[in-house]
Amino acid sequence: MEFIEAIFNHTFMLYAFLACLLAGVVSGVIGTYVVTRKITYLAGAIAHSVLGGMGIAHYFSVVYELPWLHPLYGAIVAAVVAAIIIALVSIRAKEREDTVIGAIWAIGMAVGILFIARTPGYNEELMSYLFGNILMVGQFDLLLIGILDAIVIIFVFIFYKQLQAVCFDEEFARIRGVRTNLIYLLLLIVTALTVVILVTVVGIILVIALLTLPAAIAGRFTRNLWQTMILSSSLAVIFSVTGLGLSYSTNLPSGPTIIIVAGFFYLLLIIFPHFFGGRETG
Amino acid sequence: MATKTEHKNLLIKIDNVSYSYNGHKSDLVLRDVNLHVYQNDFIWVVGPNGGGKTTLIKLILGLINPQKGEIAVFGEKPVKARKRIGYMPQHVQLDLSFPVTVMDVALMGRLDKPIGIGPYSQDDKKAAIRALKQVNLFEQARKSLKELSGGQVRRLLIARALACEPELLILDEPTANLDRVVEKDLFEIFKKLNEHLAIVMVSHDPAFVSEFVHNVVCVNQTVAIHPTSVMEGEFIGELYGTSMRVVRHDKHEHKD
Repeated sequence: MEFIEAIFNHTFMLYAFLACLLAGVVSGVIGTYVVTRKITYLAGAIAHSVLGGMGIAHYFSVVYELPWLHPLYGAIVAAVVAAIIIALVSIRAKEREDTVIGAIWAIGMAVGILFIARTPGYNEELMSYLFGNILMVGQFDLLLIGILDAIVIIFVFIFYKQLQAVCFDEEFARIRGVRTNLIYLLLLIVTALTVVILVTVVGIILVIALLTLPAAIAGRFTRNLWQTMILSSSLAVIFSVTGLGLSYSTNLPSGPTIIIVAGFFYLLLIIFPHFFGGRETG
Repeated sequence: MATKTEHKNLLIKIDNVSYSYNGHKSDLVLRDVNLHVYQNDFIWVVGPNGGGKTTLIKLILGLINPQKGEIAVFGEKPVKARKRIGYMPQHVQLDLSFPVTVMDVALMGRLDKPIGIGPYSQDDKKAAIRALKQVNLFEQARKSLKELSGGQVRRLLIARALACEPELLILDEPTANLDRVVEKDLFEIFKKLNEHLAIVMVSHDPAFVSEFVHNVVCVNQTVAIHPTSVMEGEFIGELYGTSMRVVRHDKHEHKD
């Protein structure tokens, strides 16, 4: 209850709470696609490429005195570029997709760390993006998260049937005349935007868990995509708010606490599936 | 029958088509294939696994292009014509635990725009319901895909293929891994559909031959080519049963 009081009494806790809500919603929606389309590692590569973008943006911001150049802008550019590269490789040379995902994963991190090393001053803020620090979310971050949230939700709302068809059976969708490559590219781009949102909450390294665990749990109880999205969004919000509350009262880092909460319920479901009445094949 | 077929529409015209996945002439999957499919035909494509059956289907659907020869579907290029084809892929290609309802899957057959916006229309829903009724699956419309039996999954994929109200149905291994009873039910459905639709069916299992299959086409690239030029071929009814008709079916020729 101390936690609920804190939300009303401290602006940073209110912002953190709102960030959990906004991040949870898109994490559930896009996580459903990531899980059903089986592109978890691809989302992982996009997440790690984000550090490169943040490092570069931060470096130029400090060295060339560009205060408007927030690391999150770099994050968005890096994530979208990584998504486009992976989509093009997947479309043109499918057999190399796996290697490219690995390369982007590592190169993104390497670029980020080199730029951070060359940036004058103390760069703890940037390193905190690795594991996330939701208590640092400010008004600007919240506004940016809100805009990205809106883009992702509107996109899914408009292209629901194409996304469903492309994720379920891409070849069939192509025969029906759907521009499947374009839909796939757009899906990866909104996945990239979602990853950026989640990085502010749980950090680069833990993004994958928040993206996939709620959707993987939800998939066991639902019969179609939008039900999965609604349930997994609700779970993502519950996990992240619960994790935030726990981290506040125990004074532990918020990102890992959120992931532990999500991981706990996921493992519980895996180990005792019958207890929850979920469908075996989910 | 030959005179009768002259009045029928030619739906698929494959002339001297060769294809290899890497573009090398020495690695041809299909060589000098000729195949004509007419209105109301029921063509049964047989051959061993890896023999090029699926490649042939992909060529007809315009998913790949031949290095040599020509393919016309409804007199057009396959890429343009394929929206008028009802296609049922092999069920093994699909993730059967995917969270979709039976109705969702049937509706996918109604997609017809490159970048369509918004939900399916009422017409789309009516057509999907008609298609589900044709395969006796309407009662299961609200069920989830993962709740269906193997036979029901096949019927659903047929319904999805039918939802676009096609003029031609292409079925890739529709009865693989099904028991004979379920297989027979499916063939009853095919028989009924064949009254107003041409059907091209791929199967690697030559054990079950139905009396209503018009032509058997054997595809096998490992022993070069079985040129099966269609209607002018000889009927070898005795081979598989009285009302079974088989097209000219040359012996395997090793050309290497």
